[in-house]
Amino acid sequence: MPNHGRRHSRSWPLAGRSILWRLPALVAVTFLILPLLAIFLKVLPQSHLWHTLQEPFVTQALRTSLITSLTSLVLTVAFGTPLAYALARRRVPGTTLFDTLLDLPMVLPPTVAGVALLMTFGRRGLLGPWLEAMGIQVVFTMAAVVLAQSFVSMPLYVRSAQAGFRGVDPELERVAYTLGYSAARTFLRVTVPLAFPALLSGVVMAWARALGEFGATIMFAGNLTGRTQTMPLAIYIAMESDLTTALVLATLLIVVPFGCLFATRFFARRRSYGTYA
Amino acid sequence: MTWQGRVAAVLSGMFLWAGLVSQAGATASQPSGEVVVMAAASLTAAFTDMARGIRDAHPRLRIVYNFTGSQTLRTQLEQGATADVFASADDAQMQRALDRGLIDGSPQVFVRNNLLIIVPRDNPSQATSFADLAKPGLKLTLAGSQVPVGRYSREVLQAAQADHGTDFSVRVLHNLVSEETSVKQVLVKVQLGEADAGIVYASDVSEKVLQDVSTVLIPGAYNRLASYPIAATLAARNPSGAAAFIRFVLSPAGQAVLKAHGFIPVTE
Repeated sequence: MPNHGRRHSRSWPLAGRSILWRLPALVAVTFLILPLLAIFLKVLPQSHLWHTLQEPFVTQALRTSLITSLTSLVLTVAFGTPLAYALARRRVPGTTLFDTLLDLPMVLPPTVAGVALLMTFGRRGLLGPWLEAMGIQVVFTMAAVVLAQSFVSMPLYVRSAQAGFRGVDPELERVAYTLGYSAARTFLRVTVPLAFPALLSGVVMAWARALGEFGATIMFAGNLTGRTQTMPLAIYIAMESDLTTALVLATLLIVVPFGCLFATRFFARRRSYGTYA
Repeated sequence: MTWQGRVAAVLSGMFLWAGLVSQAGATASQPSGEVVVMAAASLTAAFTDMARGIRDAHPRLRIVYNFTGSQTLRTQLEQGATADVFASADDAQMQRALDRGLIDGSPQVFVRNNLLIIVPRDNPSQATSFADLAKPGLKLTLAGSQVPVGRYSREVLQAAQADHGTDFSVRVLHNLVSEETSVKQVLVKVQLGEADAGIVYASDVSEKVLQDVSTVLIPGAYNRLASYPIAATLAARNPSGAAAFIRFVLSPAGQAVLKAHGFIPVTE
């Protein structure tokens, strides 16, 4: 960031001192944190917390969520990394349009994603007859959950990775290459380490998003305990029968992503990679 | 019911209601303002239709609907959602609302409904009878056991065990691919052809739905008659409006609209 002299000094910028700025900021912080706090305040006095955590309904949702979100993450990294690298290195006409299109799944309402996936992979969807001929049914399976999660979370990873790759000077890659590294080795030994903080942050963001996927999952994958009922779905169902279970699951879904995000930030701060420090 | 039958029922309902209005018009204070009605998802079409009749009977009354699974509505009420009327698709959800002190007075059953099996038009699993629900490999979708229609469906399977074997229910539920959150979601999954079969209310199978699905009857011996209770809420902001709405639903005009949508009027 360019140095703006006085404004960049230790003291707050002038506007930040005014109550007119501090008050809305305080409201914003309270608004964002209070609802999360409310869940903890509600869940802590409950007596059967440990017992609830061991209920099959909860453990199966946990298992389904872990399997699907980690699978989706592997797919996201495997397919998203080459895409992000290509987007970072090549600028061809139409890139802006392409970039915008790739961002869409991130901002689309999950219900739109659900309908779109049904129209693509459903029995009567675009690829339906083709999949059926191969004896594959996607809807109502764990594969559908993975697809829904990847659809909404991959753009997050691609965006972050793309920014990371863009920050790596192509000159460094060229030097490594001319010094005898293969293209793959250059990528793994030079590019990836330099872009690592951005890649890691992308991985965590994408995983957290996949873990939280709800709308597209319930529409496209259905809701069956032990197969397609992920934690967000279990929370929705539990709300209608047993609030404690819903609160326990919600707590898990707050604590785990928070831990991961916090650890990533902490880790990223400690490494000094120039602009990413 | 044929479309002629439906038209006839709607027409007769309109006449009945016209008679009612001319009588009721004389009574003093007309209810007015907004009435928030929380109603089971299966009532969507019928109640939406009914709003027209109510608007004519009580021009100053504005009906606002919230349609979804009864269990969701009951949860919303518990969490402090404001509504004037609660119309549930089963006693269980109404009873829970009563137990929580959310209901004013005692609920009245205002309509009944049969259950039906639906299969996609092209019927990929070749299901033609009730017993076929246990066919290995059939992809069955039911509403969750919290959802009234899901609870009724499971009761039907239990009742059928006398004839189809004590493991019938287990065998059928083994085919379950998804537990939906409302009867409309069951309907959609079968309409899209994703599920091979589902259990819904007879009233859900409209002429339009029949373009995509075929029906398979559930033998009368096991079929479960769904009863819908209606009541005003204790927190109603518009008690007189709520009462007027409930009166209309129970009136011959209201019952005729429900009948036209495939429900069974309480008077029958």
